[in-house]
Amino acid sequence: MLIYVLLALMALSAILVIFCRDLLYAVISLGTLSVFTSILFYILGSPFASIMELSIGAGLITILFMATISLVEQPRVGHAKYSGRSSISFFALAAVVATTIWVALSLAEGVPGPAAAASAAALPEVLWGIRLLDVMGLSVVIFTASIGIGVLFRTEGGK
Amino acid sequence: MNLAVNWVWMLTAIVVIAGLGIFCIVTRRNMFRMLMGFTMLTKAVTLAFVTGGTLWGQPGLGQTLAIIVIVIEAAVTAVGLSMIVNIYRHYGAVNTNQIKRLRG
Repeated sequence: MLIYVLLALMALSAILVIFCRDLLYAVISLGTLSVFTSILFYILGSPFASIMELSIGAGLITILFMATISLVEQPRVGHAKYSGRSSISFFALAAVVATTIWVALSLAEGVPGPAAAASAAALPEVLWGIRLLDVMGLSVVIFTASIGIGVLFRTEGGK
Repeated sequence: MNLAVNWVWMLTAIVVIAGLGIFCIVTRRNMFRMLMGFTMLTKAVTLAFVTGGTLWGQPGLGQTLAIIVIVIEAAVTAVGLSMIVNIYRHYGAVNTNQIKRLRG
């Protein structure tokens, strides 16, 4: 039951990312999608992937999007009409809180211990053994990305 | 709690999220939205790796590939966002309909 609820919430978050008018709300929906994905990873017995998805997908990428949107978007003059939306926002927030509590209680009831432990034990030998070339390629990708970002933000002659 | 996984529903969710990502990339003109669509697409790929690893009894391999995809996703997103900032500096817009000049 928990998995189906998570899958439905993931699909709902993905739809909200596309159809939210405000970019910040879309970014928050994207972070919510990452949170649900990480919970699903944990249930499927992949704790390290869950941690990576939670820290990078829901944390780093969301912050990067928010910072860039705040750099690029023009500040709004005046206030938007929130009069009709306040009750909807309240109900949406209450639904999110209730769902979070329910997911947490469900996870506390049946933590996938053996599967997660077996997966965690198998990870280092796969990561540093079979897929070592991938890890080295990954370091090259990160290095290239950092150089690319530096080149893109380069300023020439104090301009 | 029943944690048995119905693989049909998992694959359906993967296809739906990937389809929504492709839809977002193809139909939206805001570059932020396009990058969000790419991020959704990579999330579907990551979920497919983890699901496949669990399905074929190799959770370590699926988890490793998922971690690699997550890190590459973060790197590509960072480069894409820096490109968006630079495009905004040059053109003053992030909508692809308003960016039609290609000059060196």
